[in-house]
Formats: sequence, C-alpha cells, structure tokens
Amino acid sequence: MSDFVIEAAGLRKEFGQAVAVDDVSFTLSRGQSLAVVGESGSGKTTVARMLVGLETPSGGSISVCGRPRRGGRVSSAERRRRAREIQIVFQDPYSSLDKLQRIGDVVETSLALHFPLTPAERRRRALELLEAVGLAERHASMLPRQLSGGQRQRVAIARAIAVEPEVLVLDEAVAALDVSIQAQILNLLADIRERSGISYVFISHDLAVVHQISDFAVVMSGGRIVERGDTRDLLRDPQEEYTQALRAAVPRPGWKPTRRQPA
Amino acid sequence: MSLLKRERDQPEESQAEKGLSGGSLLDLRGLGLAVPAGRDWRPLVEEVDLSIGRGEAVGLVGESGSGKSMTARTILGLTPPGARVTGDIVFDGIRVTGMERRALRGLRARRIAMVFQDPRAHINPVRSIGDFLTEAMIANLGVPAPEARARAVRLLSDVGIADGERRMRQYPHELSGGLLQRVMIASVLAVEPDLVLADEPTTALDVTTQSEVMAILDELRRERGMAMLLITHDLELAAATCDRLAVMYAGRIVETQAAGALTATPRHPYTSGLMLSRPSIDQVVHRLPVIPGRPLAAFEADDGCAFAPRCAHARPYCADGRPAVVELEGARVACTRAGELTLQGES
Repeated sequence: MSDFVIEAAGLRKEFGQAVAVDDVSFTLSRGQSLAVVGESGSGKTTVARMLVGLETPSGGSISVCGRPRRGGRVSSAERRRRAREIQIVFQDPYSSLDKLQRIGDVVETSLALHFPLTPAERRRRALELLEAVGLAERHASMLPRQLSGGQRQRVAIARAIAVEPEVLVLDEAVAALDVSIQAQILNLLADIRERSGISYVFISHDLAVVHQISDFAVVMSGGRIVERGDTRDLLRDPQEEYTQALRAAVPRPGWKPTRRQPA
Repeated sequence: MSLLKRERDQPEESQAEKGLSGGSLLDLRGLGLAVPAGRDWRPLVEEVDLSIGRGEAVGLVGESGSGKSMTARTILGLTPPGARVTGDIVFDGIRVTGMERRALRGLRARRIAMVFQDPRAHINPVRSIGDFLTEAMIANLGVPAPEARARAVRLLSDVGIADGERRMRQYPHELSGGLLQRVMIASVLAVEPDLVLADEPTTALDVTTQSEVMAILDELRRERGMAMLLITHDLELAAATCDRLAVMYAGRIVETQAAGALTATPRHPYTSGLMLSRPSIDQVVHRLPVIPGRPLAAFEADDGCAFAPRCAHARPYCADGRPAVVELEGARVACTRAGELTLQGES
C-alpha cells in the first residue's frame, strides 16, 4: 500500500455545459499539508467537495487511504468508514453548526457515530477535544450563537478531529476570521498536525496564509492546475505568469496596487 | 465637467467658518455613537477624534466590532434606528451633526460619496448600469441626459471598462463583482465629491482584482484631488494606499500616525500585534505571534484600557480608566505606556 493518503488523478467536474474542474491530479502524503490555491471560480472548492464526496466527479478518480472512492450509493457502514478517513471544515462558521445543538453535543454526536464509548467516556473525550482547540468546559453547554466566529470555527475543527481522520480538508477555513483570530487558528492547526500526524488539504485564496500552513501547493486557474511545487519555492520564485500576477497582487511592505490593461 | 467644478467652488460658507475647520476637510471631534439597548445605551463608537485634509487619504483600520464602519456611516447620517450621536462632525467648516435632512441630502449628493463593500447590494438590480451611472448626474447636478450618458461612458473608460456603450445597456447581474465595484467607483467619480468614504471596497474581491480596483481608486482620486477615508481590516492594504492611518479598537482610535511611520514604529501594542500576527508571504515562522482572546466591541469593554486584557505589556494600572491620548513624535496614541515601550513593526 502506498503512503499516499490522497491520490487524485485526472479529476473533472462539469456542471451542465460549464467545466468547473479539468484534469486535476495530485497526491498527498501522510502528515503533509497541501494547499490548493486559486481565485474565485478557479474550481478549488469543487475539488474540496469531490474529495469528501459532496460532489461526484464527472471523470477521473480519487483514492483516499489507498481505497478508491467510487460514486453512487454506499452503505451507512461504508459512509462511516469514509468519514473516519476524511473530514472537512467549511468557510462560514455561522452556517456550519446546528444553531439548536449545544457545543458539547456537537462533538459528542461525532464521537457517538464512530466510537463505542459510554456516555461518561464520551463526555470526557468531548471536553478534551474542546480543550485541545482552546475552548473551556463552560463552552460545552453553550449554543453556537453565544460564541464568536473564531470560537465557532474551533468547534467545527473539534468536531472534525473528533473522529481522528487521516485527512482534514479546510475550505477557506480562516478566510472569514479577524486577523488576530486567524493567527490563533493557524497555530492551532499547526499544533494539531504536529501532535497527530494528520494531513491537510488547505483550500485558500490567501497566499500569505498558504505560505504559513502548507508544505506543497497547487495553483488553480479556470479549473486547471497551472503550477505546482514546494510552497516556499513556488512563492519565492513563481514560474507561471498567473502565479506571478497572484503573488504581485498581495499587499505587503513597499507594495503599490497596479492596474492591468483595460478589461 | 468644468461647469461642475465652478459650481462647487463657489463657497457657501464665510471665511470665519472656514477657520473653524483649521484647514482640514473633515473633522471628527469626540464623535460617539450609541444604540438603544433596553433602557440603556450601548456604545459602538466613543470619543473618536480624526481629521482628513483636502486630497488626503486616511485609512481607518480595525477588526470586527471596532466601530470603523459605524464611524464612516455616522459621517453621512447612516446610523441605526434610534441611535444617539454625540460630539461633532465638521465638514469643510460646516457642522454636519444636527444638520437638517435637506442639507444633509445635498451633502451626500454632491460632496461626500460612499463606496460600499458589496456593490451588488447597493446597485439597483432592475435598472441598467447606464441608468445607475447617469441618475445622480441628471437628478442632482442637472446635467442634460445625453451629456450624462457621454460622461458615464468616459467614466467607465477611466475605471478600466473599455466597451462602455455596451456595459451601459447591461444589468448588474451580468457583471462580475470586480466590474460592478468599478461601476460603483465610476458613479462616485460622476459627482466629483470632495471626500470618498470607501468601506472595505475590495474585501469581496479576488486579490488581483483588489490590486486593480485600489490602483484605479488611488489614481483617479489623486487626479481629481479627492480625499478618501478607507475603512479596512487590512493594515497592509491601508498602509500601501493611504497617507495616514488610524487604528481602532473597541470603538476608539488607539493610534494615529503617518502610514510609513505607523508600520515601521507602531506605538500601540495592538497595532504591533495586528501586524505581527498576520502571516507573511516572504517568511514562515514556526508559530505566529498571537494576540490572545478576541476583539471586543465598545460596549463589551471594562472601565480600563479596552485592550489591556489581551495586551502583553499591560500593567495593573492599565485597568484604571481609559488611557488618555498622548502625542509622541508625530503619533497620537491611547496607551499609558506608549512612551516607555519599543514595539516591533514590519520587518
């Protein structure tokens, strides 16, 4: 068995006439962090959704933990097994939690689905997980609306890592957060990876964030991968014109905004 | 266009009133905004002092709940229902606070314009782009319709939209977010205001589009001598496009400095923390330096320095009342320890 936790080959997704993803291939090794970078409409979120089975590819193949993901109906046992392999954290922490479910229950539900624990054990494990993402015991009895956006995103991360997946897909998971909270979550994700050896697929438009969180990156434009490589090399010395333009547009010390030619 | 200029240059106010503004275009003095909450008032903005000179670009930077957007909206009287405004807003020597509705409308129509974050929510979806662009010129400035259309096409070309004639016939849903934001900027240029309030104008856009839209805004603003108040969460973007920056936290301005000086030598621990916690495209750190906790809104803050609970430099006395604003080598800082701290800026 290969040590790749994800192998995507020739992925394609069509929505009617439109081709959202076209011939996308990549692999992800255990414990590594891969960034999928692109602007809106590049197809990066569609790739994320295909990885976790929220979209069925129109072509190509995906293997997770060495097992090919085939489309169509699957048994609930198989769905649970897949959930143990790959989990996702979405961009918007305001819509990804059930507003009537208490925070502790969010994590416990995830645990109950996958592990034969007694209620007391489950409770203890849920509190451990909340603590691991920087929340306290008092948060367990709260409803999502009582938490800030950053805290909700921590809950979403706790729910995802509760099942101890091999791969965590983060779809613009820090994009909606304040700068000071974004840094906290990025550090948390780095800590979790260091501790557990989990792998990340980090979907983002933000090159500075990608630089901090990923080992490898693929740059997508118009549904295709236009450039790939070691993240630091890629950002230090981008080869493709598109990646160069993307990098040049990031505000940084000494930067001035520039106009392209009239559209 | 020259006709408009002349019309606007005729001063309505006396020289004495001009003196009142001390040469600046906009002066906020002790500005406060509170909304009713039960029997109490819930403050959103407190004691904001800020001035913008003619043609100057000022960045108002802060996280969510800091009150930066509310400050901009209060200038135009776009406050929440039942809100209480305290302090003074003086625009070009005229007090805006307490101004009658008609006069305020005139101010909004001709002299202060706003660019909103989400153009799709602020451009009428059932009217064409041409209607949207010419409406203000025809209704507020009395420009004849054919001339207004010709000007609108020129304005579209100024903001980098080449096939203006065709775009004028299109509707908002046919344009991308980036194009629509350029249309919004064109509509602001149409009335050539003295001051543009730009509230997160590029936050919803891709980075390459952001760069372009900011470049357009910057270039056209300079050409026409318009002042700008840029509201943003992005300190680096503000530093790159503004002359001066003000950083807000919990409804108050905690630091004001020239843009270059602020990023090189921040004087408030929050400013420094905000800069350092942002990942960089040039270097990777093992772990980002973080500001613990979360940003507060004005009404959540205790009596002392609102930032003290998150501040690495806090001392017990920081809890004793709001820190006064002090002048420090060209900076205005609301930190009791400002004089003794050396804080890290951009590397």
